[in-house]
Amino acid sequence: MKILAAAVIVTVISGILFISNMTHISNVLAQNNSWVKKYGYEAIVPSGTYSYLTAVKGKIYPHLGSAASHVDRMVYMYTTAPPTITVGAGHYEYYSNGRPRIVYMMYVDRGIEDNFHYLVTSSPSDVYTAEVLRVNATTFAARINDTTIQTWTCSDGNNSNSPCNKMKIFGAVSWGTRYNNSSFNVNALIYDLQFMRNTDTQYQPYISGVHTLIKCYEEPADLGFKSPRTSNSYNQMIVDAFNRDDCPRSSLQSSTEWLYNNGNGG
Amino acid sequence: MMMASISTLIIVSVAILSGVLIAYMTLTTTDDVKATADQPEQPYVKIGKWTCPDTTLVTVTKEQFPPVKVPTYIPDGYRPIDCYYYQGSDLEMYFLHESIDPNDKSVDPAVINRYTIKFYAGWFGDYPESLEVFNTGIDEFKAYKEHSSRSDFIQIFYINGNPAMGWESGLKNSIAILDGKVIDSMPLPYPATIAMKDMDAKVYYGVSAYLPLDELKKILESLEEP
Repeated sequence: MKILAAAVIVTVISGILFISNMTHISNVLAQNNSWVKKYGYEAIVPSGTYSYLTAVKGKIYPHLGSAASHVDRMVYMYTTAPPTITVGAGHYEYYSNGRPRIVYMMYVDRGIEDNFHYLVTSSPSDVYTAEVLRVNATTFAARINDTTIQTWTCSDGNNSNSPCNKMKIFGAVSWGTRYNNSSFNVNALIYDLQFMRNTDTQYQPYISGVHTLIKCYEEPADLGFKSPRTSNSYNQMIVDAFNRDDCPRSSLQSSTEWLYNNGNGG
Repeated sequence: MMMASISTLIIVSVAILSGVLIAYMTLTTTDDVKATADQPEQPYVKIGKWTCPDTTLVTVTKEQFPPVKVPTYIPDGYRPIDCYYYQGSDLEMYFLHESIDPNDKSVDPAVINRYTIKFYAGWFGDYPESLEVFNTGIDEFKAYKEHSSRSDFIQIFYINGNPAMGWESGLKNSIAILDGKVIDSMPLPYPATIAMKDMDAKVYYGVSAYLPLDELKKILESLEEP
């Protein structure tokens, strides 16, 4: 009888633990009904000793057809010291009155504060250069094709002038969200990444293998992320229209619509 | 007699189920071993009491470990899955709950995020501009709280004598503004977070997770030299 009792107790406890665990996971899943997809470099740390980054830029192709609720495609830099700050420049894809739209954007996310996509009415029709600059200790600027579209200070909206923490990491990403469905496409089409440290007098190219790449999202796998690329040792991220071997058009999802070169792509 | 038969039946059933379970676990473990045998060996890095996957190969590149402390306490059920340090100044460690497989790509990234504890430590060195903010001590946190749109949620406190700021997890908004008008707004969860400064060592610590703030305090209270 003692063995029987022990067996029953063990079985009951195991069942309770199993059900408890499954319930916990279900609750968490229920709280997160939006899907997020991300392709690109999330975190690059330039080599060398320096205090902080002053600028990041890259060339970005716009595209439509992702069928996501919205997509942010941008270059950005951020600080990991809380409250974390992310500042990016690029474009924003969304649907309005059933029509897909793309507009240039400055993106800001800081700690517990709301994050903001500052959009401008002008739209990219071809590849463009997106750039984030640290103007001074308190102010950042988003530039598109060498024109400032938006500035932001670390204390925007509160009349303070507090300095921002240093930013030592940058990235380039296509980040999309959609409710209740994991099947959508936010392929990243960004290349020619460059950065500037406080010790630099001009932009430096991101070179794979020389600078630390901490995180890289690369789905689907054949998007030109093979690293390092033999024919061109830097800027291997992504779909370079002039290096199609890295990313055959056929590997892109059919929903992609090309806006540049009269819709035919590079 | 009837009672004894039922007891015997239950014992036999439990024994059979246990056997099936053990056999299943043995087979799946064997499969895992075979699968990993085809993969390059996963290097690990030892940081304090933690043995962590060396995801950026700091042990190969001989990266300099920064002059920072690391936690000795992490809540039960979490294990380190991603740790790296760079430039002799910054350390990041990620702890994921054991119920989540970090290699399972079918898991919603938001779920992984929900079950991750992120620890950060950054030595601010001797860079004047960076230290300009750091040296303001707790005033930086007070200013952030004063100007925050969620000021009521922000707490200012000390951990082991070090100034700190933190908040419980909650929801904020992801807002898109075009021509001064909000064209889209969606709720966005944010984790409980603590920022803490060791003023003497010039190290900025941070920890965030979807856990009670008190748990995060315990993590920072447990810091020790690695």
